[in-house]
Amino acid sequence: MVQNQKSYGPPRESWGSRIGVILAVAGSAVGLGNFLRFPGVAVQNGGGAFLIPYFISFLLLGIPICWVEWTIGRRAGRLGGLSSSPGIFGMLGGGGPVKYVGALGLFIPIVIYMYYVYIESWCLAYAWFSLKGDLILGEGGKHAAFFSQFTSGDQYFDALPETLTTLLPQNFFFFILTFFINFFLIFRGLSRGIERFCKWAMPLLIFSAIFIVIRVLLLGTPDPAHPDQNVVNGLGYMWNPNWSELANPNVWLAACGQIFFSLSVGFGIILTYSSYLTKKDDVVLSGLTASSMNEFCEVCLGGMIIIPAAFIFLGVSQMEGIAKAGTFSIGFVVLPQIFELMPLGQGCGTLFYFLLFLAGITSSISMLQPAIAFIEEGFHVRRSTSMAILGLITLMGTTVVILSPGFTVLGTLDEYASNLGIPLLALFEVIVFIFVIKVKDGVEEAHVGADMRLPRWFPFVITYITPVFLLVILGSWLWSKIHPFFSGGVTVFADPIQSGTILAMVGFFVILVFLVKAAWPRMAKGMQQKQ
Amino acid sequence: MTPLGWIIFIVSNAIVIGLCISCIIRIFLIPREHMQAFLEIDTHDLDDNEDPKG
Repeated sequence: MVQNQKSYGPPRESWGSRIGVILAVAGSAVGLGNFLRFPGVAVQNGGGAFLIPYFISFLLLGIPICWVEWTIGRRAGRLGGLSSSPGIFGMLGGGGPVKYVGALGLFIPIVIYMYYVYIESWCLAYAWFSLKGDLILGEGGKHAAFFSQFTSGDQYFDALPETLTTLLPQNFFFFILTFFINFFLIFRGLSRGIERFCKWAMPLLIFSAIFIVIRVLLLGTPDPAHPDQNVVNGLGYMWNPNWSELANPNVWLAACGQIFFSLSVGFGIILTYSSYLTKKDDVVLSGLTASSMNEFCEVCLGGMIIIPAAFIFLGVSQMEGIAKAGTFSIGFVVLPQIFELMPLGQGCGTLFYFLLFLAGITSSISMLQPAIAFIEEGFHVRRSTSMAILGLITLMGTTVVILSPGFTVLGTLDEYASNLGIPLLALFEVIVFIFVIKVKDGVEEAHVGADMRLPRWFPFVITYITPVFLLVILGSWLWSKIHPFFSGGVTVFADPIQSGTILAMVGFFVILVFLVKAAWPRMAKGMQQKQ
Repeated sequence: MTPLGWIIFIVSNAIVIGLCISCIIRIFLIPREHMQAFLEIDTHDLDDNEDPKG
């Protein structure tokens, strides 16, 4: 493990190479959403026309916040020697109440990890099923039944004897395997675990995706009886613009949301990753490179696989339903049908689900690092102890996700962490950059060791445009939650599982705030020694 | 696919691929002294010195 020895607290880790940190950040950003969520969102929101608000959001929201996170993280890391969000916010805020905002930077990645690792295990399982030929099920909705049977936690109780010998052991086996792979990589450390893994996983992921894109583009017109179901029309279904959609504010919000979640900004992960950089390391070009890699995977690869392939094999009549079906249905019900109909589909299916697994694991390991950093620098425990604590917490959370009926717990965790937590943390980061660091000093800080300068429009955008964007995103989501109560017909705590999940999240966040309070004296002492 | 669809498809992909390739080329063209070496072995030769990263 590459570490810098210090006399107070645990030894501090660092990155081994520049390309390693870029691939690690890009790996954190490239996830299931690039290949499963983006195509569906684009088709539902104007097709090719959606790319206009999408790229505007990338310029005005994604990239500016990305640069802010890289800059804040490196500043706190090199001046205070702290890597967790509470440490970073506490250091920048002079130890004041701002440090409690950092609890969000622990809360978000831990909560998302609790369900993300489970979905990730589905990808590994489906890669295995596809390799064995288990996904060749024929027509008649059997793929949906297979997925439902595979994922339904309530079957633990309903059909225990049967499921114990068939599907559920596999379900649980793949989850445990995925869970331990994640923690094994974290145990190896920042440089030897995360960085080394991302150095081979990211190129492998990209080459696998390019291979599948080429396969889809070479499909031509597989069924002569349906000459309209060809690759050009499939691309047209994805990319033909519907300009009228641009007048719909929800399309712009969808574009903001997609960029926001896709780049992994507002998670607290980039803050932690960049805190391990040194004064000589560039943050501007590195941040832009990692973001552009994510865009390549999303637009150039994700935009050319699912929708064109679905159009070719299932036809235009089913496309509307597919686009609205949601990420899980597209990924684990529709895609197996497509791979079943596709020539060489079994191999392509195995490769595609394996690349989804790689995309998932490069993201999920990044979600663990902020909490590991917090436990180690706040409580001065060894890596094995911090892993045991975090492993127990996340295992408990994921077990609830698995055992709960349907996807209610999973959906609730996702909705509140993604739609409320992430924009809120991003807003706090921008506020800290504007009012605590000051924009002028922040720009100078970003330029230290930089291989390219920030664009001239950056100070204006980060001061006036990005915060407004974030407030609109937060406000529209809050309005969508509050509005139904005013219009009547909605009862608070109508769904006990959803309400219980929300209360559990609130309780978990409060516990994290108290832990930040308890850990701060040690972090402050370490920071003083560093300074 | 309509002509406008083709234009958006080509321009969008060209923008993203161009940005990605230009960034990667710049990364690899920077002088070696800006790169950190990957340390396989922690030699502990900085143990008694001030942390050089400050």
